[in-house]
Amino acid sequence: MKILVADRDGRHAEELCAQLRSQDDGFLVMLVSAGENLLDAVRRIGPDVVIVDMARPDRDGLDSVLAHNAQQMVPVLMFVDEDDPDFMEAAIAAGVSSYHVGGVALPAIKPILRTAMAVFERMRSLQNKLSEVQEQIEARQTIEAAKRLLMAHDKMSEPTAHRFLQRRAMDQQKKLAEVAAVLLRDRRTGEN
Amino acid sequence: MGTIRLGLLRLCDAAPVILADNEEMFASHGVRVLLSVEPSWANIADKLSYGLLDGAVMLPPLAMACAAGLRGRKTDLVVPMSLSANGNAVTLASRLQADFSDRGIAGIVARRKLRLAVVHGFSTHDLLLRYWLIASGVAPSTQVEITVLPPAEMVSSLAANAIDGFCAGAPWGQVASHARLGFIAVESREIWRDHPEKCLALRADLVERDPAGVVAILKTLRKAGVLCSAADKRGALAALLSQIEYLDLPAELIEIALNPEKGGPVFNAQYPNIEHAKWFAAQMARWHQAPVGAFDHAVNIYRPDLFIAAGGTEPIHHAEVFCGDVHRRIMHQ
Repeated sequence: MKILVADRDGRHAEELCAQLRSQDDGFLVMLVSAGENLLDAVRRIGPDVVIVDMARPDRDGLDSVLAHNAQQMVPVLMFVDEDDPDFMEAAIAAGVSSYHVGGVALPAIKPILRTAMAVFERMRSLQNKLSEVQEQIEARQTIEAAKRLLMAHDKMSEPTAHRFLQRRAMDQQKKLAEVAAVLLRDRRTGEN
Repeated sequence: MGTIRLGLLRLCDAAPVILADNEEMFASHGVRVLLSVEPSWANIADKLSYGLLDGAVMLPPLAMACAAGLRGRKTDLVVPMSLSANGNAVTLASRLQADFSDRGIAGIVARRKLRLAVVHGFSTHDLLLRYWLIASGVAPSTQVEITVLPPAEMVSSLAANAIDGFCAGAPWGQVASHARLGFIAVESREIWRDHPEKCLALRADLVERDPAGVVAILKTLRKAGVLCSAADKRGALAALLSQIEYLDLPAELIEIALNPEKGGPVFNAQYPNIEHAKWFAAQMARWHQAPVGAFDHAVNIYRPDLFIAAGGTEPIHHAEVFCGDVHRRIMHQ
């Protein structure tokens, strides 16, 4: 079975290819080339199943191939499991959709889609963790910058500057980093 | 009541929903709304179908195809209001301009098959393009190839010669002509004057679950539509839409695209007219090899009663004007 994997920027693709290849020796997994339109890739490769990242805007191209290009191409149909709406909802929530081309049997698609969902979810949780860490670093940098400003301009000691920000954060019921960012912005506009 | 999730794409005619959210108009009508900017119509359709969205700024033909079960899982939707009229344009590659002025679209097609793109297979763009082609003496199914591309990729595809033209909403025709890659061959209002464009589509179960919330949304969007129509607020609206989370394009360009006198979207045509649904149904049956009667039920997703219940009124009926006139004008240029 020929499987075409189309994710937005190649982040999930390699991982998913490896997983699918180890799942079944009969799987021939291929990728959409960088910059290639999804519809063109389907024409070029002629896959049985297409796994698509829902973040791709060109997914609309597959939505109506049956309606328009029947003379040039075998029908492409979205995989829909009528008996298992929860599964479909989970796939969409994970950001994966899948299409079958020609007459490939529906039951063959579900395990492929399930693998894709697992990969997408794992990569997303990694991505979330990464952005969390980045946010923490940025917050710390903002707080440090605000403290340095208070120390230089207002002649505060480091602990005094820290307590000053903390008190303001408590009074305004905001995060320390937010208060620090506002302080930096106000001082900057004040100087101009 | 819970939060109502509305999906939209990065397009000029999503303006009423974006403005209402930005001005906290939903909240002041007592309803909590969360906007979700989606990358494709397919995402909107899927998320509506599996309940990850409660409603969306939608293409009426796609809403009807979803309701008819012709696109993915059959989904019960309602269309309680229209959000815009006009606003699309057929844009052709600049190299075709001289030929187009001399011979019209039929003259070009007689010599070479054109590849034209629309934004979705079930779209107003597709149906209006086909209507214009046939009125101009071109057979849409055989004399041109109609393909599907995301709106934001139309201009680069034109530049790469991957397509010869496209039919898309504002501001993409303006973007192409601004870059001198294409010219606007016909505005959609010339194909069907004041044609319905985007609509609000809601999951039918939302109307049962939260009728007050639905009324509040309709009231909000009625007001937002009127605000979006004010010529003196167009600059501010363009600035809002130009932001990175929405269109991410220059505000000056969006402001031109929003001008209804230059073919931009009209935001105060909000009555969901069942006659319009019937036109879409007839055209889809004609072009999409749908089984007989496939859209019979889909026409009933239009719910003017909900619009009236939210304080809307039925406009005075005007005869619809289609592009016979345009056709003659093009041929005699």
